[in-house]
Amino acid sequence: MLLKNGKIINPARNIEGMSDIRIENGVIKEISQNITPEKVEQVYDLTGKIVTPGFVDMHCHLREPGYEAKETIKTGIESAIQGGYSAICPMANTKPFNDNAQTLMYMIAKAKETAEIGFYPICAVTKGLESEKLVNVSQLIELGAAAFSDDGKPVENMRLLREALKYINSLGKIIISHSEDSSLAYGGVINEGRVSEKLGLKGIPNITESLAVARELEIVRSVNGRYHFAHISTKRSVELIRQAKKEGLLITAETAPHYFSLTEDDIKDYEAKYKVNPPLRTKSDLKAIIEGLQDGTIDVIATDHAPHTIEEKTSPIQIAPMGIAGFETALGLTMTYLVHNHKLNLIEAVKKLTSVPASILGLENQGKIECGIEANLTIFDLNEEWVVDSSKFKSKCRISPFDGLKLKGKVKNTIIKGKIYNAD
Amino acid sequence: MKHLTDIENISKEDILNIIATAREFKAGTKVSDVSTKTVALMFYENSTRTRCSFEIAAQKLKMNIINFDTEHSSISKGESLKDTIENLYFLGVNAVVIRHSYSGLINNVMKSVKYPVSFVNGGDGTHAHPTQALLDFYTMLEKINTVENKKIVIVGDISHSRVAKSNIALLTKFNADIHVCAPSYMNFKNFESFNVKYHQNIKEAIEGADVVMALRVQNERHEKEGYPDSSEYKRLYEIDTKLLKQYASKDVILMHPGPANRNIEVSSELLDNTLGNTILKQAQNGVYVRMAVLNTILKGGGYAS
Repeated sequence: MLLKNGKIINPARNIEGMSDIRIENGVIKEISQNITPEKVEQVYDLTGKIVTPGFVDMHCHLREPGYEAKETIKTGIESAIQGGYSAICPMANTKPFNDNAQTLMYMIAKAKETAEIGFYPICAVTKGLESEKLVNVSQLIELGAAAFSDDGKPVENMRLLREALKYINSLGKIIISHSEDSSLAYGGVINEGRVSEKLGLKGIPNITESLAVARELEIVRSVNGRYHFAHISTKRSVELIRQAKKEGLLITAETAPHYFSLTEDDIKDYEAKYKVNPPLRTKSDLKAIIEGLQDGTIDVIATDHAPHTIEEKTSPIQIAPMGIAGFETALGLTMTYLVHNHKLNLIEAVKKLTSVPASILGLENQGKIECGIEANLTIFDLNEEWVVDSSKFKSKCRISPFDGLKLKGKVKNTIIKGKIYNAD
Repeated sequence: MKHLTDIENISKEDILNIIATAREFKAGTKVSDVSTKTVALMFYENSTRTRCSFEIAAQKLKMNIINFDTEHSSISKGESLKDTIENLYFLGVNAVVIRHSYSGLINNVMKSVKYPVSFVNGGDGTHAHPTQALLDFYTMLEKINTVENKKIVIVGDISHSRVAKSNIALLTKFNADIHVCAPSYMNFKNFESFNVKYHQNIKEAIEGADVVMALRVQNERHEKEGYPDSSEYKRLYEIDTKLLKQYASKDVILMHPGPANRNIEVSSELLDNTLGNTILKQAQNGVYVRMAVLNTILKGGGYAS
């Protein structure tokens, strides 16, 4: 297979330029200008298109086992591929939880049935996400756990978190934090502030997140741990992480596209499609998230793809579950709100979608374009405009706060181990 | 005007029209325009006064009334309330009065119902209680003619109070000088949302007040959240005759949406003397205001016109 005339962005090496790529047996064989096609070779003319490493999502929820009405591993993978992802990391809050060998093996086997996407499950830190007992870490790593997180819930027990961090780090993996103080979140529905007060909805205070970040930074500092903060949404969290990085802590952080594109002001008419955890914050938080992305405080853009059924997401906002489907809008939102808005240059944005998450998790065949490694690539059109229509999502989650929104930047193809998928 | 879900969604003119119509009903100079219409009362939260008030208002308008049995119908999902209301429409219901503990449920359901049913908010969560604000306004006008630049002080359990929010929304439209007074744990979490002045100290709050409106302390909520019980509130915020006489304007009127906790928000002795009478007037005016609301949204063919 020969990809001709595309603009290649290889963020791992900070290279941006016109090149052709030859793929053979699922592996990148040759990267150079003006490769002559062989007689039997399939040639794709990518004039005007951009070729990057396949996107790496270090934070998503696929719902299987246990909640197959929301999403299955199959529909989740199809949705991810549609969004340009060649590697995904499903979180552990399934039913049963992914805190044991059997569930982990089941998930990996299920994924293999669908596609050869890089499938790197994140196992729970504590059994049942209950903050009481550490999982069997080494066994889960051996079976394929890429990292550990109780995402959906915070690890509340600081003694356990400290021990877990030391141990998991000693085996070469990281913990991913769902930074939330449950006593402050206390049944909140949306961000605590002007909008929650007006609408009469219980608020989730801003410090629900930053208090947990501050506390966990002290744990990380005390054990010199490697630690990753998921879905950062507040200004104060960004400040804390920025300062801690300056001080040399081995931490990384991610945000999700909805935190740089939506705010609490978008929540009108009590629509639960805007309900997400952490909640959509204020304009000043959004600005700080973008600044964090710009100065590298926030390393990664992850989707936090969190699908639910349309019935659940059209329930009263008080009882509807939290979460936004993220795979199929991530590139469009990143290009529209960050690149076309001149907040990030293209290569920086691509890094946060590819090489940085791959390197944080140590995923060998992801996040780079090099001869001799698996051909995991994404092809997109930077300037193509399209309108979000969740009824056409590959995900089972057919509702989105972005419905009807015009985005600029569209995934055209995802190549996974040399197999090309059409995302149009 | 086809619905009343929130004071913020209606104009000053709408409000003044409702007040004028209510006056005519009270004076007996107006007859019902909606005697052929049917209203369903759907109260998913305990209510005695508001429900009775709507029921009597509808009776005086000679309307057909359905007291919808909410206890045996599940509405865990907005969808099923939509189905219920669409069904009621085909049974001949023209308007529904909904009270529910979920803020905004009525807005959502109203948007999803495809048939011309008028919606009246009988109180939703901690969001809005527009007919209460209208009857409070009516009562204020009856007593002091205008609210413009009058010092109106709302005291007590502000943060959980849909009554306070709807009153603030309405009084803001009519340029009242609005003050609120509450202990910190009962105060708004976000003050910028409202154009009001805050006082921690009650004496300072009611200094020169033209209207003092006490709110019911919602003890059940505070205890759940671990805040002090009502005796703590009473010590600092109970309103009694002496306090009003000493600090408020000499013609001050005392209001309360009811039901009052005697000797907590307001002293029993104050409730029973002449200053307490306004609270009963509020209840009485509520009937005429609700008649005006139902008559206004349903008259002249109602929704379809």
